[in-house]
Amino acid sequence: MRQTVTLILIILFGPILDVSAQTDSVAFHKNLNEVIITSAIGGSQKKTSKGNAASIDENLKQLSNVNMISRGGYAWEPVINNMSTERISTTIDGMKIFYACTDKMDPVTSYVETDNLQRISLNSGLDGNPQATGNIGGSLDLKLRKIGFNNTPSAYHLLSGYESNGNMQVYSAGAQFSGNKFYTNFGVSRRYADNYKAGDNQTVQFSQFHKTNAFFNIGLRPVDNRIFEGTFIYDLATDVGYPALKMDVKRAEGIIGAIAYRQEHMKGLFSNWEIKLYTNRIVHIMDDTKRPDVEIHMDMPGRSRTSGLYSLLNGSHGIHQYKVNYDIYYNTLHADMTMYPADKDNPPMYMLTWPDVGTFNTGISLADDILFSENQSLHVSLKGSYQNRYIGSDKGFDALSIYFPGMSRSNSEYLWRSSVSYRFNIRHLHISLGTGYGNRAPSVTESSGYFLNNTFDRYDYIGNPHLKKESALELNGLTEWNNNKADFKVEANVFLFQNYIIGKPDTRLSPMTIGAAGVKIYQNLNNARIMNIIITGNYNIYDWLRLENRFKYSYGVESTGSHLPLIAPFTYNGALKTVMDKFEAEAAVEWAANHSDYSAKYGETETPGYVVFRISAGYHFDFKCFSVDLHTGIENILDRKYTTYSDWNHILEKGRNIFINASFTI
Amino acid sequence: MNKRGYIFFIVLLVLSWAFTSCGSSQEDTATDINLSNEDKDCCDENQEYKTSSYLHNLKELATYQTNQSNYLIKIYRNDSLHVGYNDLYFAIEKVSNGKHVKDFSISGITPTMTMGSMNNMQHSTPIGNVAQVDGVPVLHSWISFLMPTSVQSNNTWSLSFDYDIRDSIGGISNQPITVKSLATGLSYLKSFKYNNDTYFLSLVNPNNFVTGVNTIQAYISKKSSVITTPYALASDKFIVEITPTMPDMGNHTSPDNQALVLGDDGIYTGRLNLTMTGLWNIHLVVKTLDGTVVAGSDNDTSGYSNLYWAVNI
Repeated sequence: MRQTVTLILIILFGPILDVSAQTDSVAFHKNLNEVIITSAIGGSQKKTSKGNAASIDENLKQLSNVNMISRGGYAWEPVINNMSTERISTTIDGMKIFYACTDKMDPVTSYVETDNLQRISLNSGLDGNPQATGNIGGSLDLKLRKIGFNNTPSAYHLLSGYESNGNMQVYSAGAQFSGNKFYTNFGVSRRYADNYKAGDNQTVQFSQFHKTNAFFNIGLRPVDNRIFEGTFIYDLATDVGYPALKMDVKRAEGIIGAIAYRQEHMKGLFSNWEIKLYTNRIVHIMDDTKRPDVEIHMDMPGRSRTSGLYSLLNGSHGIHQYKVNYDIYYNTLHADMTMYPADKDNPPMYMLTWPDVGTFNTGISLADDILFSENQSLHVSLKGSYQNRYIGSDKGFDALSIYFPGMSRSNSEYLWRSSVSYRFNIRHLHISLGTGYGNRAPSVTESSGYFLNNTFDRYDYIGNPHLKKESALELNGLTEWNNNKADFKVEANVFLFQNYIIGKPDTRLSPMTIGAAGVKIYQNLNNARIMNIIITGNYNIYDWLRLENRFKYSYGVESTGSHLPLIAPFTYNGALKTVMDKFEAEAAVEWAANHSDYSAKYGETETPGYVVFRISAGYHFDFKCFSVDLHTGIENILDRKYTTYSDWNHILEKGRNIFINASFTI
Repeated sequence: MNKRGYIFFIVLLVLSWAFTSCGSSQEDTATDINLSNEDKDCCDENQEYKTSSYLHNLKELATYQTNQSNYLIKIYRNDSLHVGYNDLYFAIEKVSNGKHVKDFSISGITPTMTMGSMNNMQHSTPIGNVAQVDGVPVLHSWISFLMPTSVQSNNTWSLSFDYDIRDSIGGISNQPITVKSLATGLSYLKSFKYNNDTYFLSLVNPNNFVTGVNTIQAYISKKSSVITTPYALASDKFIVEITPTMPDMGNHTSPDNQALVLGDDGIYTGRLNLTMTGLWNIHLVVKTLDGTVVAGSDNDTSGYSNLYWAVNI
């Protein structure tokens, strides 16, 4: 116990031990899969071809382990290793944030804008970023664009972009000022679109959106190596259509704020320390008033509030490079539903769909990279946390008690994850073998959601307070061969689940939603497994011309042998890229096989294969006192009418789209 | 007593109770308080406070004077009288000191409907037994009204009963009372025929249901052979199976409801699960103890019995 207290003290208040050690700054652990958000032309980093005009969702799509579930033209839901929100962690610069819509219309990535971010980093599987919890599939950390000290003293950015399909327009303006003791950068942006058109000129009704975002970062360094930072983001989406669902969104508002203190170049066991205090609020209000065929009009607001703190220490000693993180957060989720009967004399029908659930979580994570030699390294990460959940609403608790008599209002769990990977080189061959084991607590929807209709399988879902933790064993491997002309990589991972959480029909129960197929209660499946293989092969034909290929295959089954839902079919992405000093161009193809391993049991139907092409080009212009990055291209050149396995209810993808955008820097 | 006077009275009571109870507890022995107006027919200060507090939560329905004008008989209710089950509470105040009387009885409660629309035909309605309320000198009974008062059709309700208050015995007869109809779609009282007799199912306190698990209670009364005689509780025993549905929600229903069965106190009790607020139809299937269906075998469009109570929560 005393050791624990000491450890917490160290983490909270910085290093008190004065152990001198030489700092080893070799960054050897390059397992990060990340997409850089930039308008800059050229470079070999992973980025979109649209520059800063690309949405967050388009940026996320660049990550090889990521797929996106789309319910319309906006706010796609990221999926990592074929696992969605419940099994992944998303943080914004280490800050916990939780979505506020019971129908997952607002993945937390929808509350930031491209110009807020520097990059998005992905940790695959159980090896999460320090603040991540419940990340069986992986964790995303959205790194904020903080300009930092001693950057360009002052710069101004303007961006204007247009896309022909849906008249999508994006405008943003920002400024940055940087000195030795002070920096700030801030900006505003607006992005909006009308209904887009699928192939064959078919308009997808209710696919419009409007988004406004403002952000502000500030940093102060009163004394060398002691830094204070602040961040504020306001994000407002209004009039957002969801063609795959039965209703739209009137307003989704996110307010994110943080203050942090950082200490750098410390002597001792740890070389730098960051402590951050943050809070965020999300309000999400749905709207069915514009739909022509509403069975019953309803109001469905949702609210998510999170506050927390993390304290992260980085250090190195000998062959070790390590991170120690302590974090604590509290989140409350509220969602309710008021339905107005067609017969106006009858009273409205009210229920709590998320009964004011409070989640308190605190944990410690450790990560260590051990560099045995230039050709051998070991990466270890561990996190243990304690979580308590409490149903705050009497009404909600009483209602759920109908289905679970004698249920407990509060429950506590210990959660942990661990991961280890060993990396070694044999000449041009890099091999990595890893394993992980960890668990996650059921989500609020899974443990106490109340009559949440899933428009995919048309079932009403009721959370189960008696669920056990879901755990998974992960095995992963990577083999990479490269020389200066070509590189070839095979990555594979397997997740073996125990107590896999999924909804099972309970024929005894009557659905609430008119026209629903029945009621499903979340249950623990004995086991399930998901496997992913990604093969990439790139070839530099010339210095300036590169051919990229990526094959992805995934497989997911539950204990009964049935396929799991939302498992991607075999896909191929190919691109021919030209990268020169000020010019880049790309011709790309995306091919998906027929989604034949669909899960009929969970409401999926077959998705036919498709192939789509796109081309794009970018050029950097330098003028006397400003520069311009111009991006243009055509997506879905052949105007193919198609849908992917992850298009909710098979809504159609965008048809041909011509984009052009210019980013000015003064 | 006007409202301000009433509050003043309560405050006085609270203060006096607080002082006396503090004093006695400090001295550790009970001290007899000899007040000049002590009356052994009436409540002491402590009981008086409890009685007033109890009645404060109710609404006054009517006040009647006894023959010698020495007592006031006050009838209280929860709500406006309406079709279906209504609780009634009887309390007696002594005129001379305004205090509640401890021992009294009420009997022969007789509600009578005179139907001006039907040649002044008269009939009564289901009523309950008179019972003492725990801890306070208040008597409880109930009336389940079959129909509302109608000025238009000249259908009127009147109430009669007998009292026995210490030295005063007498009756109150044919006092007019007003019974409201229920909002459209609601229904708290149902009837069925069995062995050529008519039975009534009165749902107790239909306004008290909440989202979640509810205890549901009802009485079954039998129509008297002389229909102006109040309808007493049926001596036959039944089981009432219930299925709640929401007509506005595609007849959504809830699981694990429990049939109403007869308890020792003459009241039928079961469990009713209501998953949200709104209009609920509680479909009824009445069975004899050997399982023979007596009523509710015909279904309506919901697929459940066309015999149902309808409540709003």
